[in-house]
Amino acid sequence: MPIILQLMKKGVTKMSDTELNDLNDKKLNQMKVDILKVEQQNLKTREKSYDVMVEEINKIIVAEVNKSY
Amino acid sequence: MLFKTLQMVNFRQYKGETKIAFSCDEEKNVTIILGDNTFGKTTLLQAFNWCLYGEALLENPDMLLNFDVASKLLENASTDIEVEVTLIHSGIEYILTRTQKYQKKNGKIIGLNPSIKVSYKEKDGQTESIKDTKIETVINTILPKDLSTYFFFDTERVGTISDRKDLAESVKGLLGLSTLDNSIKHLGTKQNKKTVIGQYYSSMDIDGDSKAKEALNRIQDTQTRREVISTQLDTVVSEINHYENRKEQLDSILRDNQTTAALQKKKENIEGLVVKELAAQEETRRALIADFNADSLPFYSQPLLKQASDFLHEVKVDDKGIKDLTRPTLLDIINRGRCICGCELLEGSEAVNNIKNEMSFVPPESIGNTVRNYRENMRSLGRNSDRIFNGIKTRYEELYRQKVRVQDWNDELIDISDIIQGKENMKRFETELIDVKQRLRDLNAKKERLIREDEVKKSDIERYQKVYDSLVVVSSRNKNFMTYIKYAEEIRDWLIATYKEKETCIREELEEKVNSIFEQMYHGHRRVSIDSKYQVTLLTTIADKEVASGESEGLNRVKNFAFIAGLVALAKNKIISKTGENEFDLSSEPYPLVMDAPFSNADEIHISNISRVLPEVAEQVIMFVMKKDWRYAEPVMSTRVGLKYTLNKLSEQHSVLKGE
Repeated sequence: MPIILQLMKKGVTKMSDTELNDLNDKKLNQMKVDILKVEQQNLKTREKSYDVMVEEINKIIVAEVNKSY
Repeated sequence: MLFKTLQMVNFRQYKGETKIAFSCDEEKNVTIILGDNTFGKTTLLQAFNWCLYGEALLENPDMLLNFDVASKLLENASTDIEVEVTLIHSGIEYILTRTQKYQKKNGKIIGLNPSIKVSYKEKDGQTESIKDTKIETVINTILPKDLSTYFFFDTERVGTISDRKDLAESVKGLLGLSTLDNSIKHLGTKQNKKTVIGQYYSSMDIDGDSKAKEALNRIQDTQTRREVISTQLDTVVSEINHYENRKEQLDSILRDNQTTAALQKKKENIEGLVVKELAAQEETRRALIADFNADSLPFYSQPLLKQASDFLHEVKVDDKGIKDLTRPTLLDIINRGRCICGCELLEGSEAVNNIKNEMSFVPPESIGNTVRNYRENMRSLGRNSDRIFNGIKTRYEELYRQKVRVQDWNDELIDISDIIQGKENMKRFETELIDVKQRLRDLNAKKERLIREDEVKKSDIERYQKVYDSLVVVSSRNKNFMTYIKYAEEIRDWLIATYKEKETCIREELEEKVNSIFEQMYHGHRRVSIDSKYQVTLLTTIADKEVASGESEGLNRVKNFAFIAGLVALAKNKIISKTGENEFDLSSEPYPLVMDAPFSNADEIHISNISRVLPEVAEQVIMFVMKKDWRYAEPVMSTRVGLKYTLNKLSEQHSVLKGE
């Protein structure tokens, strides 16, 4: 288990086990779709560099996590 | 994607303007261009490459201008070559036009940098240009360059296509796996800091969390210690209360029994005095005996000595001789002739006679001196006898007084004992009271110490809490990153699982499809095997065992056609990935096959078979075929041919195209 998740389990952070284990499926699926879309698009266009794609995916995840449904 | 037209201006041997329309009919999806060797078939294929990607795999690729036109170009004059491709992609018609200016300078023809323009037709028929900066992107969207070699290929590449090193990557791209593969690579791992997950981990302030954890641990430890202190304090306070109560009880008992206590105390004091007095008495007794033993003789001899003195007095034996003077002393003085007074002593003188007379009173002739010395000794003993008597008398009197005092105290003890008989021993309570007071002092000291320690711990907790609070911001930030990591890792794991599932499934489907096509193309008993790197091997069965079979040039060609046809067929299929309730289409765009002399080295049966299969699997087929091969293909393909052209070679520098 990654160090950070161990720390989380030990309660150093305030994320509970429930939060850890229960990711929001709606958000998760939306992230998957969005990531595959940008990847598929870039596979066609080759417009975005590796670093730009990494940033794109980062934005997708951060935006979706912070969304309120 | 479907090609609509190819238009060339002065491109290699296609002098002037040449335009070819391709069949886009679903049923008649084949366009045939017949031409023998050196008629310009390969140039047509490379015209597509040059237009789309700026590359033409031809001899002397820097000179694409028609030689006739070039030779007639005047010094310092210039002319353009142009290739324009019209195609339909995702329902939109695109027009791609690449031009290059050639200039004659110092007798040499120099090609300047080519340029490209891309436009597309809106639904209302209006044409819109695409910005120069977006052109490469659009072309890649239409047909990525690295995949184009699977759709634009000549005789040579048909023979080597299944041996390409990047085959696996290309197949992934064609079959939609690259989307998953790239997603996995971009999401990455904790170790790779250039990936999404790697960046999340790098952004985490692990150090801050460690400090927060340390502060929290200290808070928890200190709080635990405070709880212990609190428990200890409770115990101490409880004990203090207990001993305070006991002290009050003891004080009360001792107050109520004050007389008894006083008498008990007095009794104890007297008992102490008696013990001491008895010791002193014993000491006096010992001294008395010692004195008696040492000096009793003179005392007890006094009566006898008095009797002896009286007797000597009665016998008058006292003489007048000089004490301790002896006869030899006097004779010696006479012999010296001079007295000690200085008087000369002469024989017969009065002085000598007096000395001789004295001789009768001194020893040894006289007892008088002895008696006198005896008397003096008796007087001395008499004086010691008085002193000894007085000493013994004094000690006896002391001994007597001591005995009297002990007797008096014992009498008093008996009286006190009679009074306090049946009463509790107050001493026990007094001892307990002293013990209780000591315990109270110790407990109060402990209580003070615990209170002080608790205050220190409380202060420590406040200090650690401040440290923790200052790190909470960091922890909060970390919390966000941990959430991102959790989602990212979940998605990556899902992508990996999906990729594995799809990849295995697709490879199996591809092998199945290729085998199906191969069976239609090959008139023999062999099977195609595709390994994990998409390398294609032909297997033959010998004695119930499949072994890799040798491949002739013709067989290799059939195998590769089957492989390409299988890829194209599979690429047309929908590849769906489920994302929760949604489905995601991973499929790539269906592409046409543009082939230059595909039937070289294939026998008539294989030509016939290949020709039957290709129109079935590909969206569009554009083939540049030699007339000799077309004879075998035509019977099976003619029903699928929508447009057909024939190349005529007017000269080495000029070919023309004629539609049928």
